[in-house]
Amino acid sequence: MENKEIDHISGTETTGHAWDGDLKELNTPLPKWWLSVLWVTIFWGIGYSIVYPHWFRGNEVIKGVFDWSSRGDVENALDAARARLAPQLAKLEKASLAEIKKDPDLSRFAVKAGEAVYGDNCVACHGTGANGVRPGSGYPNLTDSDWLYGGKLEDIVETIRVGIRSGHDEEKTNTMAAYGDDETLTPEQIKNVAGYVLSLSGETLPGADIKAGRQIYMEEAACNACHGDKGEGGATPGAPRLNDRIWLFGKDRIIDTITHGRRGVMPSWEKRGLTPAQIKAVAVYVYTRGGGQ
Amino acid sequence: MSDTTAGHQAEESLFAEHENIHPLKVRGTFRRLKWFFLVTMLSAYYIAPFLRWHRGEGNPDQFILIDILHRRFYFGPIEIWPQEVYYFTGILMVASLLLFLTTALAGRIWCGFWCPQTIWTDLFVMVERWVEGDRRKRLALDKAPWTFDKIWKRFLKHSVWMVIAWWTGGVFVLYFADAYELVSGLTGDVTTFLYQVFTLQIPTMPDHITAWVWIAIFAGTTYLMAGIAREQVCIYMCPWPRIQASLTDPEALNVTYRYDRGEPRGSIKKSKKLAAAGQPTGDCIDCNQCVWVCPTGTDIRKGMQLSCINCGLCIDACNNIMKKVGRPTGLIAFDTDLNIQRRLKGEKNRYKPVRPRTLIYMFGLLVTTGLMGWSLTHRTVTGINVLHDRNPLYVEEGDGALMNAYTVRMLNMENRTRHFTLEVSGPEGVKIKKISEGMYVFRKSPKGAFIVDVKPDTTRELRVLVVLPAKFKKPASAPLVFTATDVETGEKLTRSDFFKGPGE
Repeated sequence: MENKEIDHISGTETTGHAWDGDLKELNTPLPKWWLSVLWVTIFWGIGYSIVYPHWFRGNEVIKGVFDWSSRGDVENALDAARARLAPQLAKLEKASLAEIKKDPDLSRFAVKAGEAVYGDNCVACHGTGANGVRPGSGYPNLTDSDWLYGGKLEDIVETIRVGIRSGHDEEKTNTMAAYGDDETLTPEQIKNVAGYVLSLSGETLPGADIKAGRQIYMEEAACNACHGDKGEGGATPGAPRLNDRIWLFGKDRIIDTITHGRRGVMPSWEKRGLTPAQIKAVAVYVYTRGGGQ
Repeated sequence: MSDTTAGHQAEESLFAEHENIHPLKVRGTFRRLKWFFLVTMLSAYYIAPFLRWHRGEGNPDQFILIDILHRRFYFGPIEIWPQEVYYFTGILMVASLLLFLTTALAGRIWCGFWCPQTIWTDLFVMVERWVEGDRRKRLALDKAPWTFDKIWKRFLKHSVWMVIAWWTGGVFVLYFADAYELVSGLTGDVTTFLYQVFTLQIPTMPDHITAWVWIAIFAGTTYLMAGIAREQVCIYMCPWPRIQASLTDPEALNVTYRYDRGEPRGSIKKSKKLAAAGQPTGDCIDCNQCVWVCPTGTDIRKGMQLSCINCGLCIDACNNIMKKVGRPTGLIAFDTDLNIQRRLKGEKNRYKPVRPRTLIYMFGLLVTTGLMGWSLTHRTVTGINVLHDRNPLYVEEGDGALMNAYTVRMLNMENRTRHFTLEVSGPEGVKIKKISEGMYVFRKSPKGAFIVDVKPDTTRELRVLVVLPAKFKKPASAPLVFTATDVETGEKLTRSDFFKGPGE
């Protein structure tokens, strides 16, 4: 523009415009380096949108030159992690109890892997601390030394594998009949037998005739067939011990238990898709919580 | 600023235009001192990673090794674990106190003689002088057009700089990985690695991309700081000159122009004329040598300044001139302004190195080094950590017993396998039921205590089950003490925790 002039204070050229007669503007364009960075970023952005997924076509995203996706990244990372763990999992799958005991590295690996498997699958019923949801909730505490289906590592592995009343071909099961519902025993008799059961661990139930209760326990209802003559349990698989202080379904709910029966369920983790190595790992974790035999 | 109108004061710009500083070559005492420190400190830097120190099997044999991957820091006989990082705090405290002390005694001599920035800059300027010639030639070359002569000189200079920078980074990484081991595992042997670094190849370390990324970073910063930025680092980037102002006092020795003797300055001719006229004359002949030799371009005759790094090169330059013109040396010297004032008043010089300030710094140094030495010689090289299970806090057994589970970590920082008995004491009747590591169960000694072995330089995490049988009173919470006793030496370690229960 022809009206450009040099501002005498700053030494900068004006743009040539004038407002209100004498109001002029200095021409201070963006620095060249700044503009070139802008251009570089623009070209970079175009290249980026070609190389990486960016544009939609209908419902899908054009995949870009390298066929890259963040989901694919995650899958690759997971594959890499699986590949890294595979040798130790394979070793664990084959190892016997004695071999795991002898190999501290394998043992540590099993506990850590088992903790992860436990966290993903078992906490809902057995609790984050493996001590059941709360005492008497019906979900067994895995940290004590009381076991329904055996506390040896092999027993724990088997229980986790086939489950209880799980529909697995080799499922484990026990039967606590509903003595009240099917009218085998009267409420009076149930109260007496509950009193007797409590007396085995030194507890009392007010108003219960322990002698009559013992008669029912030993003969009429034949509780001893499964729970043993002294309430030591385990005469048939899964029959709880009654002469200790652990009450799976609650000390205050014994009458309830005898009246309606109990049918505890645990899924078969083989059917649920855990690998043999995972099952062994979680068994080792459970075993080391405190109660393993 | 060119056209200031009347009544309108010129605005002085705060921006100082950068001009290349081309220090003139100089000979003298302080230059020799600087060469001495340059050679010894660079040698130490380049040789240290190759020094060996045998530590026994399974441990690295490098004298100085900062093993970040395995979280162990080795300094000769001393091995530091990450939880002892306070030793680094101690080293930093000692370093700062030493810095404070030297500052109180003789100003910024750290900057002038020992700072890596000074040392590498000196080295780079030496290369520049070797390729392009001394000050005058370099100034001329800066202004010269891009002729073939200028191009090859610049190319050669920058190439040599980059080589030095590359070597600097190449050695730096060796402090963080076993110089021989790292290299031999990847390239066959250490000579190959050194051959590659020193012949400016990227070391063939496919799994250790980190190593050469770090080499590149340090090469880049060395080239930038010592080659390009130089005195700009000292004047604008470094916090030390700012901090130093609060650490010094008028008694500290500094490179000082003795204006009591030097002023009024003037050429020999001029001063002769003045002297003949009975006017006062000074010894300074205004030859500007002191400014030209200065690596930061300071004119020391303007008094103590932020840009002066106390290297004493101007003293060398001035002394050389004084000898030539037959005047006494020491017109510029390590001196204090207080002394100048005293001399102007006809008093005697005085230097007081022992002052409350220096005494306090020395006391601090003594305390810090003493504490560090004491803790290093008395530190436990074994440890026991106890973590109570949070969920469940306790387990009630079928027979009425109460069980608590703990995670116990045993540390062995010694170079031998150690055996410990582990026992608990607390509420009456409490005892250890089982100690296991995964599926492995520890056995009891014939005396009935559990024995745990911990391999050299490792830690071992144990699961300890502690029971209180049914017949004993059950606490809601009672103190519980774990005692580990070294079977061989009888050394005892204890750690307190709690034994939890439902209460009565």
